[in-house]
Amino acid sequence: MAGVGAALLAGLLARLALVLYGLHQDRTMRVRYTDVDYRVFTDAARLVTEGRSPYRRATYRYTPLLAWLLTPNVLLTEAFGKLLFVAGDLAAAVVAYRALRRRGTPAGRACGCCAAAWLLNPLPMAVSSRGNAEALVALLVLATLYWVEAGSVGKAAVCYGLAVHMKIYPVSYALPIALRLSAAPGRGALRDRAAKGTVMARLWHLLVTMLNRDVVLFGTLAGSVLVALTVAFYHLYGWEFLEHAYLYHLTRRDIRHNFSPYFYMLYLTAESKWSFALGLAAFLPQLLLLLVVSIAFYRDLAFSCFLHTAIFVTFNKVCTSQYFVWYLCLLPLVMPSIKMSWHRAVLLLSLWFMGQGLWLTPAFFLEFKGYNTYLFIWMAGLLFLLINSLIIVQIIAHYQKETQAAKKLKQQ
Amino acid sequence: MSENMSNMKAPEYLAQAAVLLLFLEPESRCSRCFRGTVPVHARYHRPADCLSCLAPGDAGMLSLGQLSAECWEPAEVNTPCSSDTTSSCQWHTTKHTPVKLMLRVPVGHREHSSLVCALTLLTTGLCSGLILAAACKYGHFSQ
Repeated sequence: MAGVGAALLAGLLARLALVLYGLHQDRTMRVRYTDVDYRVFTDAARLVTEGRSPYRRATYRYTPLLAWLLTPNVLLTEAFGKLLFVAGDLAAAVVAYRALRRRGTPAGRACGCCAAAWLLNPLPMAVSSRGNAEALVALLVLATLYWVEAGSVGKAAVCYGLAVHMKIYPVSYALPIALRLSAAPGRGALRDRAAKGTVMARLWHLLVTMLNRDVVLFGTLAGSVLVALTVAFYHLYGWEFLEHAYLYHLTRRDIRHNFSPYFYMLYLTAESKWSFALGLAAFLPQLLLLLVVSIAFYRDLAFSCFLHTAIFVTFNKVCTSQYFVWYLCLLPLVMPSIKMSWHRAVLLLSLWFMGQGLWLTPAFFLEFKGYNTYLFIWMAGLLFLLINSLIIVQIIAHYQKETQAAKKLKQQ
Repeated sequence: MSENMSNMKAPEYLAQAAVLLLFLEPESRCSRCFRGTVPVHARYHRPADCLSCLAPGDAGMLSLGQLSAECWEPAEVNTPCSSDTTSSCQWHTTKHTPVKLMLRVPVGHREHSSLVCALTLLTTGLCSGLILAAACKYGHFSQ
């Protein structure tokens, strides 16, 4: 426990230092530390305190809950939101630690994984201290996985419904969660029967056995939470709530430069007749990979969701740094299952940072110096895609759940 | 101009025009001079437009505010004095020498479209194939 406390304290102090530094940079330098989105959140919160719709603020495309949560930004201090996100970071680390302990990971190892991958990782530190709300969604996702593993389907469903309401991407976890719930202990008889046959027959069998009590309960409860929040906010803010909080994200086509390998292709073809077809072509690899990975690894829910998110982010049509937090929050849960040498892990991590650096350099010259570096940014984006894919392949290849390894030893 | 008026993230060809009320400060070195600063945000323009020019409007308007009312014709426009919309000021047209500004904005090259599309789809296909192969090899599809 002392180790966990120390790690939490170190994580907290580092984040508070960054928040304070951010205040200084915002006041004294041309380039602000605080993310533009934080300004949007605060403006939306101000509108809420005035009894108006947060969607009066242009580019506010989030749940009204967030604007409500950040009303102390207006009533107390503008830094309140950042402190809330920092608290969310720490809470996420605590949930990840408890999930690891529940899976039987020794305390020291669990603490080390949480510290290395999350608490002392500069990326989630920077994301929260700059004022992005990703930590709150990370906390809800981790809580969902924790409660599913603990067998509390109701609590997991509530957390999941809330997570999907705040950010749409957790929707992709529905399939692995459903498969996991259908494969829980005591339901093996249903699975074992008719497990042979063609691929289609096995897929059909899998779909049929998915519909058990826990899956139906989870789906019903999560759906109810989502519908209740949607109806309530629709009643308050009308169509613009649906448009900005949900529909915008489903139809979003961002042609400005970002880490996505598709950005330049979408920018050049934005007004072309091929735009829709290319958008669809960009979506198909993502969909296929998510389906296959769900079926291949659902027995380890955290690993399945980690792969899901890494694939989703890597192949998405829009990708910014804060998206990395979506899968980094799950990394502590999967680290004990990945049997990889330190050299290989450090090499992959270096490649990941190098890939970002190679993208950020031409992006800086485009944004701040006005040079035409689109081709370089595009090539760096493709290289980053290759690096991320290599990392995902290596993680899959070195994944070894403890029980699987123990079974193999027994069989020998 | 507040951030509420304009979607700063929209590309140029989808952006809506906005009226900018610029409140000038008296220039200390020149009694009849006023000074203002206009921030310029270069949006994404259509590919292959190699040069884009931004020119401010030819006419400006001046508020009566702190000047003598005797020399001025009746007000032409009643509009907010500042971003605080509770008070209204009277604005008049005034003549000045219009300034044309040239701004060079980097844009994508349309002739790269085929190459970019082909290579992007090829690379994403290759990468997804690699991950698919790994998932099929190491995944657990049966008990």
